[in-house]
Formats: sequence, structure tokens, C-alpha cells
Amino acid sequence: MTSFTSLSPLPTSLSSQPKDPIIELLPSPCLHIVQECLDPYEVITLTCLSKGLHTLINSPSLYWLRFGRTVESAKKRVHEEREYLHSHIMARARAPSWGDLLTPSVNASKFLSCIEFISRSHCAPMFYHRASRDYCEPHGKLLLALAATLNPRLRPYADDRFVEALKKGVKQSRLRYTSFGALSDNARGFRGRDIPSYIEISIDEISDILAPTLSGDKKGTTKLSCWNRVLEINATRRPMTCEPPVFCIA
Amino acid sequence: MAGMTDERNLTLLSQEGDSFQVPVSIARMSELVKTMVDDDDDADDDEMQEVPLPNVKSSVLSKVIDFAKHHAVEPMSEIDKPLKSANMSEVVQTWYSEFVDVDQELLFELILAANYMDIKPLLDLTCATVASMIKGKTPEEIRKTFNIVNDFTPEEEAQVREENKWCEEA
Repeated sequence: MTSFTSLSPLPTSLSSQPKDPIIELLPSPCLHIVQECLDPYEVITLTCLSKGLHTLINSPSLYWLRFGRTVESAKKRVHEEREYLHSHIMARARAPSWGDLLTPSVNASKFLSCIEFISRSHCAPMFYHRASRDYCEPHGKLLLALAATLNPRLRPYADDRFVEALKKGVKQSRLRYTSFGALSDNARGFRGRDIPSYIEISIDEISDILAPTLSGDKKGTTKLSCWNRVLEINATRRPMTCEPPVFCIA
Repeated sequence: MAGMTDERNLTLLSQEGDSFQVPVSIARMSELVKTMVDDDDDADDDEMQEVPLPNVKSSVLSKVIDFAKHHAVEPMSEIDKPLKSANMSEVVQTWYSEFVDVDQELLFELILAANYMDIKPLLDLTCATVASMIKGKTPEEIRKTFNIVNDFTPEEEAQVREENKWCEEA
């Protein structure tokens, strides 16, 4: 039987247990910081890796506070946004599923609707995660880079190279994106003075500037070219007359 | 007075009993040390203060001191959360990204030391490094990186999937 005097201090080192996953041994405050550094989807992924992590992360944590005070309020918020996505964006774009908004065959109006939604969405990272995981990665990146141009709060989720490339393209623009249109109460929460009233983007320049970014990714470049072609076709048409978002070609 | 305080040294004692002489101004980056030094203000000025850190190994304490010294010269930039990149060199300055380019065992020791000594920038940096090792990886890749064993039964795994279904549906 172990006597109290022979008990060693609480383990503070991995030296005696080098094979244990450090992520499962982190003190609670440290694990919270790790979670803060991750996208919500990545945090959810962690809960699926082992029983230990499921217990550690599913306990009340800072993660849920990002979406709501409780899991239930987080679910409610995501549900509201999803409804908005379905009723306002997908219905208007006649897209049967969220994935259809992100496929290379998407047209410019769907694309801009998507940006409008994502730039205000509380759960944009979730959608972005799906975009990058399930669909064409360059499209997802481009989409969120554009959304981040509209909403600085999404900046951490956007790829630096894409954002910088877009910034370069802003001055000599052919495409001007204006008007945010009717927003749901939920989405309206994101409207703020730090969100610009419009962005100007040269679609040609996006293609040119992003080409080096995507170099080595032949598949991605091809898909992006396909997108640009679609956008150029749309650019020859008159601006949409339906509900905003409206895009104007100079 | 502050200038005089900054010139003094104190001794940090590691788990192994090794002594590390550090300027008080540097050591005070640790809230733990700061509290101990502040509490001991009445001590004889001629006698160098000793701060025992029984939870921190010499090799780790040496790294922590390196961090504190460099931070005094080039403060670490605030880490944006969530991380905007899985590459730490795109998150913090080069010196700091190289500082945490260590094996997992040492990284873990540094996290524990930062937590114990209450050094927020070091804790942020090391925890962000763990997050960067997760970011952008598939579940299997994360398991492999951290040697995590999937101990769910198929039924339990299905239940976890069901729990998370609400945020997957679109």
C-alpha cells in the first residue's frame, strides 16, 4: 500500500509518460486557449477523436460561448442562419443544396448572394469549413477572402494570399459590389460601420493575381478559370433586377 | 526607484536545484515570480532573492528565461484567434515561431511551465502551436500527430456523430 509520504507530486512532466497525447493532458485553461485558436469545426472534430477529448471539450467551454451562452442557444443561432440561407439565398438562386452554391458551375449572382450571406453569418466558419472540405478548395478560399473584405471579423478565416491578391485588384475594378439588401434580424447584427458599403474587384485581375497563388495546383487553377469565364459571361448581362445584392459592371 | 529595481538580479531555482540568475525586470514577466518578489519586498536588499520553481525542469526553465529575455527586446505580437494560418511563422514573428519549433514533449513542458509560472504570452504562444498542429488536418491525421487512440465503440462513435449532426446539416 502506498503511504502518503511516498506520494510524488502531481505529474508535471511528460517524461514518465511520453506516449500519452499531450492534447489530452493539457490543463483546462490551456485547452481553452487551444480551442480559441481553432475554428469551431476543428473543435468539433476534436470531440470525435477519443473519449477523453469528447469529455474534455464537450464540457461547458469557451467554444460554445462564441455561438451562444449554451449549446441550445448556439443551435438556435445556427438554425436561424440556416433558415435564412435556405429562404433567402438558396431559394433565390434556385440552388437545391448549399453545395450547389459553391460548385464551379455557380453563376455570378449565386456567387454574390453567397458572399452576402457569408459575410454576415455567425456560422460562416462552419460553412467555410464545409466549403473547403467538401467542395473545391480554391472556390471556398476565394469566397471567404471576398467575404472577409466585406466583414473584417471574418479576416482570420480567410487565406492571407487571397485577401492580399484581392486588395491589389480593388483599384482597377470592373466589378462593383453594392448594397447589402434585406437582412434577417440575426444577420443584421453584423452590420457595422467597419463594414464597407461596397467593394470593387477586377475579375480579370483576380484571375491573374491568383494564378501564382494557385501555381502547382493545376486542378484548382482550371476550376478558377472556369469560374472567371462564368463571371465574364454574367458581366455582359444587365445587373439583376430582383432583390439585392446588386452588382454593377463598369 | 523603478530603474534601481530593474538592475537587481534574482535567482530562480529549478526542479533539480539549478540556479538561474535573472534580472528582476525579466523575471517579473512571470506573475508567479512577480507575486513572490512583491511579497518579499522587505527582505535584505543585499541578499539575492531565491525563487524556487519545483515544477520546472532546468532545461525548460532555461527556455522560459530565453523567451522572457527576448520578449523584453522584441515583444511578441498579439496572436489573432482563431489562428489565420497553421504556419506559426505567419502567426508570430520569426524568433517566436522558431522558439516553439520543438518536439512535443518539450512543447508540453513549456505549456505547463507557462501555466504554472503564469506567463500569458508564452502560454498563448505554446497553446497556439498545439492548435497549429491540429489546424487543417483530418481526424486521422490529428490522431497520428498526437498519438491519440480512437477508443470509441462503433455505437459510441455513431452517437457522437449524431450529437454533432446539427451543425453539419445544411
